[in-house]
Amino acid sequence: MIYEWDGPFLLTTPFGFLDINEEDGSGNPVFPRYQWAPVSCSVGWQSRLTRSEVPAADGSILGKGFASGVEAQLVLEPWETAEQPACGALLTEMMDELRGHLFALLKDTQGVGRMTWTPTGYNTRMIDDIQLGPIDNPKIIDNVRTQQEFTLDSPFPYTMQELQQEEIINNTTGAIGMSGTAWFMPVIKVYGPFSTFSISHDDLGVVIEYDDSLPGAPTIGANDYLEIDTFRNVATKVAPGPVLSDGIAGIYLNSSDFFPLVPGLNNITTDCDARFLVNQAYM
Amino acid sequence: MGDRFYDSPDWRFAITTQELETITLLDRLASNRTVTVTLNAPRIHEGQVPSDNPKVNIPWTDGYAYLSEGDRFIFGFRRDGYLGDTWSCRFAGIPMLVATSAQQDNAVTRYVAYDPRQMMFKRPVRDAAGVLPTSDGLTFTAQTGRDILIALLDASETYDGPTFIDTTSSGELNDTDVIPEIVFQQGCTVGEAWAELEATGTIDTVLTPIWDVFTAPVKIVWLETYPQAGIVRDSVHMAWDKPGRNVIAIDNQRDGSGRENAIRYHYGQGGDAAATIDDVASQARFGTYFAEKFFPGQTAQAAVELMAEKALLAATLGKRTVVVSPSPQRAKQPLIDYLPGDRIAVAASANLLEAMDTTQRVLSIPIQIDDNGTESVNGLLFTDEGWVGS
Repeated sequence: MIYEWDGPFLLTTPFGFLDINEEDGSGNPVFPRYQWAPVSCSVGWQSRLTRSEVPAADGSILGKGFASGVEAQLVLEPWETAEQPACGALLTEMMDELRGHLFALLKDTQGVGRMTWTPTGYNTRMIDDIQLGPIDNPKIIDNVRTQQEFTLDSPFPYTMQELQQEEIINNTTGAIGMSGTAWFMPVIKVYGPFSTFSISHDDLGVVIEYDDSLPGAPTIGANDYLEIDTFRNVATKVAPGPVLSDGIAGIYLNSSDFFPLVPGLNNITTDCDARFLVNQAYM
Repeated sequence: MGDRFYDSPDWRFAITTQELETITLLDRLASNRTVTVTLNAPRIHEGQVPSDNPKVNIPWTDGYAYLSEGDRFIFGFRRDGYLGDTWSCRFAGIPMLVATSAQQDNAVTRYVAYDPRQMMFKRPVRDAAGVLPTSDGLTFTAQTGRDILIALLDASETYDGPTFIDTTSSGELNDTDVIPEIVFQQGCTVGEAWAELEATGTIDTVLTPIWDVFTAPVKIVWLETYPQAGIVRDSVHMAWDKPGRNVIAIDNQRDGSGRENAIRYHYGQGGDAAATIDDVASQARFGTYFAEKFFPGQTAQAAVELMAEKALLAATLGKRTVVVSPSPQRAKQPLIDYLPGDRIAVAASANLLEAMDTTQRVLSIPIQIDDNGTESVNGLLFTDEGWVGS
């Protein structure tokens, strides 16, 4: 997740952009700025599984395991210079701005919330679709520094590379390489025209199948595409405009699985023009 | 190595219109889900969803919310590969209870869906011409329970609208014994008549859920009939404190207060009694427990005699209730390895007061699906009624 807290971060909210650990083009800190209190910051996910005990004997029975969404517990401090914490009018101004961003994340209905950073030696990563969780009142530490403690929650159980790649598998078998460490749930765009399609993950033995003869299934024409969100298990017809309509009625419920892309090579077979929107993902 | 413990299968629930158009999936949304499969009773599914989620609260094209009472279907699919489907249809029904309550910031909607048998309790019995019974009732003479039930359902379909029950040979429609005479009184519903037919002991029924979107008119269950549903499942064995050790909890209750070993049933309003039937062996052990009941709505002596015979078989030793909670993934898989009506071995050591090593007939399988997707059977209920099969 996040192991370095001294580099630049960018918080994107409906209120705008908030730089944290701001630097100039040469890597020099730019003050006044917000800084993390690293010893108090942590990012991670929880495991969930059902466990019961073997009746009248030793041992346990373990169910399937799952990961919760990412939770970032964060502490931010406003600083005027490298030696001087923000105080007076500047403190008020910076805290107002910060809390304005946090409140906007509480009310974010558009899903624009995101936090990005660049680990040393790696591409920029993000925690996407964040929402404000529990937030504390601001505190004064050592009589001089002001701290704001808050939590950011994401529905995804992984962080992602900010760069999104499009992998095209058009009526063929192809391999999508995932260099991350997480089971990533892609968005798949299937371009029309088509009446039916089948997209299979050959390694996992699962498939997504569509048929426009199913009751209520929309017809996907030459200028349309069907967008399948495997994380949210929804399918949307996108017509020029864009005009959006529900496409879930065309998915075969008794055979389809909204499948992930796993670390390593993923062999996919399609009989349609399928484009996988992929972000490398990390646990 | 032997069998591995089975991996708890995933479940998927979907809301559709009554024309079978998929509206929304309840994946990653519904919680506290249960599916209860009971012999000779409607299959029931319950669940809970957040009321403010757009996957359930957006109005559909008919103006009602995606999750709406009475005019939708809910299908439950289980990823068990049964009959070649990756996701086998294990529940199909109508949401008939949608209850929303809000506490401070949160609103939660609890729903209950029943298979179409529940709706038959609101359909009147009719003859083949669609005529409602007169004060003399609707009489069937020298017909099997299977044929009577199909006739009632077909008449309801023709004159009162879709039943969503396929009564053709798509399902297993095994022949059953002839009932010399049975009368359904004025005001009797198809559901009540259905239960009376089963009470004769000549027929068991199963409604098997199906997801068939291409056949008109819309059917969501197959009717299956049997002289007695279920088979002996030799490979299914549930044991507490005995080898197997695949039972988390077990209740074994014997209740003699409801014992009946001399039964005399009356038929018709102020009517005569059918001959008293006795279980002499039970009377020798326990004494006489006499039961006299009246069936003013049933004027056919033959039907009442059949009911009395079935009741004697069930109650002559008193009521024995065995309830078992098998270990998830350690016990055999419900709906694959055993079904309601099947006979399975249940064993317990004498640490349960009374050691058990019997076969019990499965009456009800309540399946709970927790929020980690782990399926468990919480309170598998057995009936000790008489077994006449092999």
